[in-house]
Amino acid sequence: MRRKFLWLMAGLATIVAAAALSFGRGIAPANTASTAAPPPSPRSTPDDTAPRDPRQTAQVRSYWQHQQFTQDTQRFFREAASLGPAERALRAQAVERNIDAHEQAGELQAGEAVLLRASLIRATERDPQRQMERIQDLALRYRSHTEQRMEAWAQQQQADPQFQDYKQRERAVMAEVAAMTQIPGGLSRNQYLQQRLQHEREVAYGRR
Amino acid sequence: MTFVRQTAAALMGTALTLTSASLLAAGPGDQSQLELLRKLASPRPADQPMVRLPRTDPYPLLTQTRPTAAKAYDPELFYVWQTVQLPAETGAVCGNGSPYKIFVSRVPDNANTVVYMEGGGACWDYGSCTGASGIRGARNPNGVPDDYMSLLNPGASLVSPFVTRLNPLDTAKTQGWNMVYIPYCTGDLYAGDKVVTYNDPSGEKPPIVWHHNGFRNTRAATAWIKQNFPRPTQMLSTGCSAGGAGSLIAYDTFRRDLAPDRSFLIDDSGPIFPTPTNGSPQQYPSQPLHNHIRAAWGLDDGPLAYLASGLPQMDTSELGTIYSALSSKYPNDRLGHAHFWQDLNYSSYSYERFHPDIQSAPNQTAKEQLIHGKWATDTGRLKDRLNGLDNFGGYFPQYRAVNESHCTTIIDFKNGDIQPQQLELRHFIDSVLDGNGKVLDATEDSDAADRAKPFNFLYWLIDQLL
Repeated sequence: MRRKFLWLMAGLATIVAAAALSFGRGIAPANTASTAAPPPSPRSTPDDTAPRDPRQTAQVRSYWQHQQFTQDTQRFFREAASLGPAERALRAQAVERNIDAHEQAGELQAGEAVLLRASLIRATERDPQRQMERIQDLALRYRSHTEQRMEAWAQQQQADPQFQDYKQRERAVMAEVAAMTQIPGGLSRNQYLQQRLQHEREVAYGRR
Repeated sequence: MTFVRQTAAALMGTALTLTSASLLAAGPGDQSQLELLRKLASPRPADQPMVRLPRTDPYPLLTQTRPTAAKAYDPELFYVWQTVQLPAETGAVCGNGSPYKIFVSRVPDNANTVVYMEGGGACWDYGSCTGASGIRGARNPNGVPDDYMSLLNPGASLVSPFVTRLNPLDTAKTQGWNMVYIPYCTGDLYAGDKVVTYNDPSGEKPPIVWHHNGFRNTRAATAWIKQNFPRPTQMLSTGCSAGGAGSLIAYDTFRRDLAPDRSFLIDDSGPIFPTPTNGSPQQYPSQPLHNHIRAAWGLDDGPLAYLASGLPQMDTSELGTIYSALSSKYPNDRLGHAHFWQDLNYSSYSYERFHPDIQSAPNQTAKEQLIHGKWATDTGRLKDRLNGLDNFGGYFPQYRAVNESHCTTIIDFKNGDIQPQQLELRHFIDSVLDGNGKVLDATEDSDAADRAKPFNFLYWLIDQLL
């Protein structure tokens, strides 16, 4: 009885201590590599019918992957200058793959990604002239993509039936209210105009 | 049995000690590891009930009441920038009449929140609001696309370390916080409340209807944050340029409605200079600008009175009193303002279209000298005002070789140094966010040391992007 009790206590204490140690060190699940986290898996909501093991939920994996990405990237930039060329190139490639993955996943703003990629170039490209050329190419690539998207956005608005419907209603209401000699409800002309236009937006975008 | 008890106690004590040590939270708003795992499995919902303000409130917090076709916000998605379209019923709209959006990125391990208001000029006529060339205008004349955060739009690309998760150039404690990015598409420093028709002065193009709706957009964003985020433990309201002014203007209502435990403000390069309405333009160079935007943006028809109703010490006939008013109302908050003495961007907006001497200057050099002179007059007055406010610091370095010395906290926190006092911008930021006692005040007299710095390739690159 005594022996059983001792084993039970020892086992319980060991489990609790191991959990405490792993939480304290923030040990990531076994699927993270030493220098690079794998690309995040497609996000999905947890399966409500699965047993509730918090370590296995998509959110937990996402959290640890993000932490690993952050730590690996920061560690690389700290250590890059002291690394040998081969190791520096290898680790830079891993960081770049992670930047690609996390940018694709929507975790990085464009400006953030450009700064990270530019910093990678500065850490790995020794020739100043080549460094400048590569960073300029990088900036132009992002700038070009942005210009294309903003142009597409402007065209999308022109073709958006809801937006165009609203703009048509807007013109009509502006003309109507401008011609009014009395504004109802004790409102100012601007207040009345804003209320009317909000109503038109709600109609155009299907809320009324 | 005694041995059993003693052994069990020792083992449990060891385990509990190890467990406790690892479970201590790191700072205000941070959760322990157990709480983190619990939250990852079941994210903490928003915990601030939406209280219906009296119907007499001219700017109520309005939220979405019915589902829309727009992609729904996912509270269980962490680190990803999510687009939140604020429907028409919230009162939000971009200048061109298109739907307004904000962008949010949540973290699982704390309730701290940074609300970042985007900068991007100002507009008050056809040319400036439509992005006509040759005129300083306003950001996003065509509204804000859903994938805005993935585009290198200058307004978004001049990323501040405050609102990036992984910045290779600088760190800030907000990089681990919940983030709300409020884009700028109304050209009114987030203060306007007026719908106007602007006519093309050339008569070639049809007039445009423009919604100076910044004040209501901010209220709608506040409502969304209150409804969907947990109440902040720490909150930073910040932004640069128009965003800095916007964060200053919105601070009282953010503070009231989001109710953080601890709150901070950093207005970067969005000054609202002490300027009486009836002051002379020679003595108060921002007077013509202030009077113009009052009319153009409808400030006197709602927003100013609403602000003043919550800030007893604010005098709506002198807009710079907002600094004193915030300082007085929130004595335990830590507030800060920073901008460069050599700022040529905000200063140009403020003066070049309002002062005949600038308009008739013989060349660009003469024009810039006049602008710098007026800016120095205004800056000196603001500096003196902030010097008298213990919890509202003013940090005024001279010059940085990027973006016309406009904005101190974009790209990185470097080169906003005040060399004679051996101060870096980071000292000021730390004083606001982590300091005790009086918030740092500092100013730099000469730009010689700044201009003597070596060529900065990164800044040069950023300027090309701009």
